[in-house]
Amino acid sequence: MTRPEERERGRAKLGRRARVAFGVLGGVGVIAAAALGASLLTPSPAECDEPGSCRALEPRLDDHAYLRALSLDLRGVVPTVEEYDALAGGKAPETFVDAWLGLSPGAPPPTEFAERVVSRHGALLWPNIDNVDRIFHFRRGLSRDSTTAIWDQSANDTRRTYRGAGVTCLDEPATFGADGRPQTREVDGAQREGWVEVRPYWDPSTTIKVCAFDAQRAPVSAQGRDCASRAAIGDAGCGCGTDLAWCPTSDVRKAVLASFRGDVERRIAANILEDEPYHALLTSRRAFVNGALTHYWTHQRNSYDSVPLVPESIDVAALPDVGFGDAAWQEVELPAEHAGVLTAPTYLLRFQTNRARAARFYDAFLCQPFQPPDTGIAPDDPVAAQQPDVQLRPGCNYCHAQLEPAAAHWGRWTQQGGAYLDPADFPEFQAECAACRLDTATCPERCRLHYVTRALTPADEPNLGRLRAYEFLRPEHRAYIGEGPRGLVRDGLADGRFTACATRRTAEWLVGRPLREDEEAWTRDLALRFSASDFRYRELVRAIVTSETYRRAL
Amino acid sequence: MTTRSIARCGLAALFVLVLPACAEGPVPVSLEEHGFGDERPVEVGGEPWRERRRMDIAQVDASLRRVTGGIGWDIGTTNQFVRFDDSLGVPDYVSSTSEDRAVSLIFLKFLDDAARNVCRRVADREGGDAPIGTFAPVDVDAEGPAPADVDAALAALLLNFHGRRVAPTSPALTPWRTLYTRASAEVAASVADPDRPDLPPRRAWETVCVALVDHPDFYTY
Repeated sequence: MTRPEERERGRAKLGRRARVAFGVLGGVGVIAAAALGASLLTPSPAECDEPGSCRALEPRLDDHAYLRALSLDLRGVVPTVEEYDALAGGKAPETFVDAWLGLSPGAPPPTEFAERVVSRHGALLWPNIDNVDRIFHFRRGLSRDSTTAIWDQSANDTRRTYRGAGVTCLDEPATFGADGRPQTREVDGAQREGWVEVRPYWDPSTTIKVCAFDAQRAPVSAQGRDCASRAAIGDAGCGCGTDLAWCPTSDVRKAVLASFRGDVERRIAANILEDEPYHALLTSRRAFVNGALTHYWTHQRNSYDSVPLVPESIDVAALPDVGFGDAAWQEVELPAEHAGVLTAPTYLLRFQTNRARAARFYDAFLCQPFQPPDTGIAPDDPVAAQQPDVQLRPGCNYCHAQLEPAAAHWGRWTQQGGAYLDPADFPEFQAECAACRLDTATCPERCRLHYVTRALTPADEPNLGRLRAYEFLRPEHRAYIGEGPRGLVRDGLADGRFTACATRRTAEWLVGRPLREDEEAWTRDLALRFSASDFRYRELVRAIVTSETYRRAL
Repeated sequence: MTTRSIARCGLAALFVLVLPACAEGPVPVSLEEHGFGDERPVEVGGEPWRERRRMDIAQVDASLRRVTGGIGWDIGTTNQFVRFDDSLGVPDYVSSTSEDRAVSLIFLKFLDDAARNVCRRVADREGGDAPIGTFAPVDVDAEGPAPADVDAALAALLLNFHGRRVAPTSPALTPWRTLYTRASAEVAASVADPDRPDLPPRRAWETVCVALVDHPDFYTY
């Protein structure tokens, strides 16, 4: 856009804003009666008949308005009257910037700014996994009968396993046989037991009634199944374990999923508060756990439904010994394969395919969204439809020639889940998995889940028995799987895309609009300064909010 | 008409002249575009700029608490900005991934709800046992405060709510003074009107508070 066009747009802007603001207020009528009153009180600059009543028509903000904008962007709240008074007393707005960003000597940690950065990164990472409750098995879910206040695993299949019918236990104390198993009596065709009292892990200060089958604590069933694992689901000899540790309630599921999000938020805040290089957010091995996450990893990770986080990439034995209800967060160090938030459970579960993981990274951190050309892509023809490799298939290859190699960086992180496939346990090729093609009945679960076991076309044949991530992967891209997402971050830093994108995203956040072509020089200068500061995010933000561009508000 | 509804109508009349509407029933409102703005171009230059924006909901919530000295839009223990976050355009990062910061009708409606709720409690606090001086130097329950005190209070409110420093003698206070004066007159009239309950003087300051929150200078920056 040329300068004259910009100027024209600028001219139209205030008039339009006045129309929008006052048109809306007028339209609201009695709904926003007070707003209407206010709109009549202070006309927009464009229609000010009494100049003394109106704000000066000056795009460059005065110190007070500038301070207000700074405070809202950096702290999320308007300044205090005392701060305005300090400004009137001669304190420069830039002094506040340094204090609020924690850059001035002796300034307290910029916790409010860190919260703003966390909030800002929501738009980049989309960290909501509230609907991914299949990291828990539905048959392990505990619920409370509203009439009797007795808890049991209320899935019909689980009830049938214990009692032969989809019913809960009797409202009477349980009795036990010599073998320690709950005794039952037949009621309406079902073998029903009584209840026992338990102090549940989610609130050990209370005692609740739990059906005796559900409250079984044996670690291994008579059939030899590990009762803490999903393999025990459907085994009447297994219950929920000591203090019901293996079974979640609805509130527990919500708390765990919210805590995974909390972990990511704390990683972002820690990056800011500890003034680390911004890219460490995507390469660090730091994570945070609270009681809910510790309990999940320790007791419930193996009872997944269709979205596993096992084999887990966290040292469970090294987690702090805290109860489920402990809300305090503790920092832990993750294994070497981790790449900051890009391998956090929240990211892996929010984006459940490697392509989605790579696409979000490219868009958010390299400013390279995958999208078809404006001219569209050619429809499939019969020949193209036979090409199973989307890197080569006409139309698909427009994005996938680049997306597939990028997605390979998550090749050792499971899709539809967030487990890590260690090369020692999951080599690139396994003959037993290749053999699954001939005998699907005995095909091991690890093969079915993680290896190519079927060839739909002749082009698939060479991939049989290979880890899925290697399917159709070019030889020159194979190293990406071992590098993990850190490799993508490294490449983005090396060629400047990451730096330029982080600068652009931050500037656009703070100036509230897409940057223009004629602002390239400004953003290039910002990027250079960002890089020279060793990627300190606070320095980048400081450079933006103290610029004339920021101070001119239209 | 119940006593409660009469009280509601009376308060609304402090803001605009809607009392006749209350008395006469619903009044049809034309939906055609109104001619706000005067279409005259304004020279703002061609230099790069920051887009003036509406606060996001977290900013509105925090700022409302700050300017009121800690009173937010809470009913019981429920923060209404959280309760209505979906309607207010706060992203959940599943069905929406960025906050809608348009000055929409729904935003203005909720902001006005918030302002009415919060300002009633602010005025009542200031007229109660533990005022913090939101309307200082005026005593919110004083009838006919000194004009100089009213001007000083309005100037302080403008600084607190809008970040705008004006002298108590500034013409910029004129519209706010007019609002306060009219609101005070409505309050006084309620005493003499047998059909309306007595409104304490603090309701005039409550009116000013609502108008300050509903004003674009509060929710944009």
